[in-house]
Amino acid sequence: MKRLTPKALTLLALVAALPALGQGQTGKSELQRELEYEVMAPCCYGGPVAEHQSAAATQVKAQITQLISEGRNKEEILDMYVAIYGERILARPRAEGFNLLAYIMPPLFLLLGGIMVVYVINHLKAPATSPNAARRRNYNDEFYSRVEQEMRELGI
Amino acid sequence: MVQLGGTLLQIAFLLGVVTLVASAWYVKTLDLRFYVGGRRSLMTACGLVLIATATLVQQLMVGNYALEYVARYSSRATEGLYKIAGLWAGMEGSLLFWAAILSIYILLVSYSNRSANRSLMPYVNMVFAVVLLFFLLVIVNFENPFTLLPAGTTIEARGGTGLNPQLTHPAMLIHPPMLYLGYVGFVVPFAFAVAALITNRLDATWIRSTRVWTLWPWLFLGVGVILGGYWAYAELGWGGYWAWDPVENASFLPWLTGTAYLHSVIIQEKKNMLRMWNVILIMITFILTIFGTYLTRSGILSSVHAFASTDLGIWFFGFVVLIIAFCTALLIWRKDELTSTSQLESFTSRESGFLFNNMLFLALTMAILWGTMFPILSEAVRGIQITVGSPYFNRITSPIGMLLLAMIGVGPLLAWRKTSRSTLLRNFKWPVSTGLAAMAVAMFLGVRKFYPALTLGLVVFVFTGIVLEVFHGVTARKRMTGEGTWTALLSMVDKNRTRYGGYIVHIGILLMFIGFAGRAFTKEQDVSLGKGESMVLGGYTFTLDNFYTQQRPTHTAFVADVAVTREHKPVTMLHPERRIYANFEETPNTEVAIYSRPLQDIYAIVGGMNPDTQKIVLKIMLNPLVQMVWIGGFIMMLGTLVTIRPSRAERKLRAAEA
Repeated sequence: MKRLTPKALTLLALVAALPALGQGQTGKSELQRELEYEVMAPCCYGGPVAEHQSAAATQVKAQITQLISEGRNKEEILDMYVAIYGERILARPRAEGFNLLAYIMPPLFLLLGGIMVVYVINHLKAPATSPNAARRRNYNDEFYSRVEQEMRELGI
Repeated sequence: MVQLGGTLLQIAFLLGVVTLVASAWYVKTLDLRFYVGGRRSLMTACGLVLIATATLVQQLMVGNYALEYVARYSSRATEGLYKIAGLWAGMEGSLLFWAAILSIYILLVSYSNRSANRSLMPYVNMVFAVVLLFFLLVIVNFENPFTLLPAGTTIEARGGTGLNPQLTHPAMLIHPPMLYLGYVGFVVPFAFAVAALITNRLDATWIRSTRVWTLWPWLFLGVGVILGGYWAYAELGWGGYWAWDPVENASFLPWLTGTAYLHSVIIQEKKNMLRMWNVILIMITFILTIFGTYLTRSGILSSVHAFASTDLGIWFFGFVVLIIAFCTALLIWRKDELTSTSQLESFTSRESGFLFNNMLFLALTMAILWGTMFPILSEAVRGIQITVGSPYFNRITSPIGMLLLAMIGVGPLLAWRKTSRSTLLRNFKWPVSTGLAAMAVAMFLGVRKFYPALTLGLVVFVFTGIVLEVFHGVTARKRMTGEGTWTALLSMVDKNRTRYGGYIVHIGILLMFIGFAGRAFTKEQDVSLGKGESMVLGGYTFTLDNFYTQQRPTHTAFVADVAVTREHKPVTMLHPERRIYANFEETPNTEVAIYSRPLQDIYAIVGGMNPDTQKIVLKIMLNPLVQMVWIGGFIMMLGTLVTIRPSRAERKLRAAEA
């Protein structure tokens, strides 16, 4: 078996370098948990620090514990991370400015969908058939019946 | 052999072109010889794609590391079946796999329609040919899995890089094929819809012909999505199963619209209504499968600027635009013929219920698509990269999810055509009462969170509705036939498999929702422990008994032995690991230890070890009701199989015809 390179060993050790991991009896506080799901792992932005298995994520989690113990509130902590890493650090964009669109559109889809269904139901209460459409359908059926008959005769 | 694979794909591409030209000539002249010629060349192209795929699998199995693809996604250390998994581990293999599954579908559809749907099949084959041709074009020109490594390359000398260790999980042997079978399968109902539009045969025939061809892909996609969740839960080590990752979303979106389609076609079959809507839904579903492939393969998700970094993105984007333009043109052309000829009588009817259900599915699809694309939009407009992750998706999808859950219960309680006020009261009385009672009990027992309490109430509401529906059905049948309860139940299900299979699927969904609600009560703790030290979480005591290193053939494992006790009684011993694989030293791999019980999972991950303090980092989670998600998924699968299987009467009829 190949020996581990120093790089791998360093990496493993880094993951474990935890300055302030809690040893609570009932798990994390609601605030801690919320924040860990709202801050992305700054190494790759591949997931919130709560879920990410990396040294960077572990360090941020430890920082959050520290900041909460210093009495900082949620917004202050999030502001601090945005100042350091930019908006990308937030797992959920803030509902302001252009980002408001992210929150406005889904309910709008729902509303528009509702209006559309009501319209369709009303429309379907009095359906209108175009005489041309009916004529085309009849002609069509005859035409394709002939085509199918021909195919059947040729064994296709 | 290597050259053979590439050559076969090139010939298949040429045959695809021949199919298109011959089919187009048939459409123009109605000369059946061209139809027959086109069909034969399409079948041959499919056969060649399958042989080329088998060639790549064979190269993976024998370990021909001179082939770039084999060297990157397989290695001497890769074990048996995982060598086959190399087929879908990389871009080139995935695209070939897509084409191979499409070929299987084409061959099966052609065989099963050898004496049916004669007027539709020429156009169906044309659609098949266009899609196959597109994938072959991409594979042959940009992503050829049969490219050789330059001589003397190090990967070849090392015997290959091998699969990413996270992919060496049993679920990964099934999850991608299931997803692909689902994704690609929707091409069948799409092709029939296009054929029905072109030939103007827009009654329910094409829908009936593709019923099974829609249910199977829907089932495969659903199973694929659930297996992906299971893999994420058991392998990735973050304690959840759904992260609203764009790749996950891409697989979920066509499933949602496919579900809407499966519901709305019932209206067309029964009432000859919603013809336009059904055609649009299956078009959207198919477009989403291609769009999903584009999203995950173009690189656009990492950054809007990555879009043009490969030719692939541009080709996929072009193909999606082409399909949308073609579908829109067809719909405009057939607008009059798609107009419904039947009447809808009331808002309080099952037909309306189906419409609202469809609207919710579509709104959910749009909301998820919007969230998935928003970072790209933000970067394009503001030049700033943002993240739209699980907290956002949980917030926007929860209300729509709750409405959908409610509609699962409301729909079957409404009568066809019109539900009178007295019937409404009678049908809703018990489900609403039991639902409200369940919510009250849950809140009394301490469930203070809004969504979990609402979920429980709605689950009970829907379940009561289903039970009453089945009860009334069985009672009526017993009265009519004098059968015993079980015989009456089984006969009833057999006679109306679509309906009762659907109810079984709904029960599976209810269990899954219970599982989702359980996520709100997860308890977790990160902790640093030395040998013999303990921590307490949720009434359990976790003691680190031992921590050691093991050298194994493919990796080095750091193993923790964690004893779990409750009130001084042993519960289990967990052995979470952190592994470092030889070819993937920069990304240590987490091996989760899970102790599963129906109501709760104990989930342990080892983060690493601090060499200074000799303490290890553990993450412990208590995940309630996760098993309900998997059990629900399994029941959903059973329900779909009940729906797919023909009734005894249909089987007899088919046997007589044969």
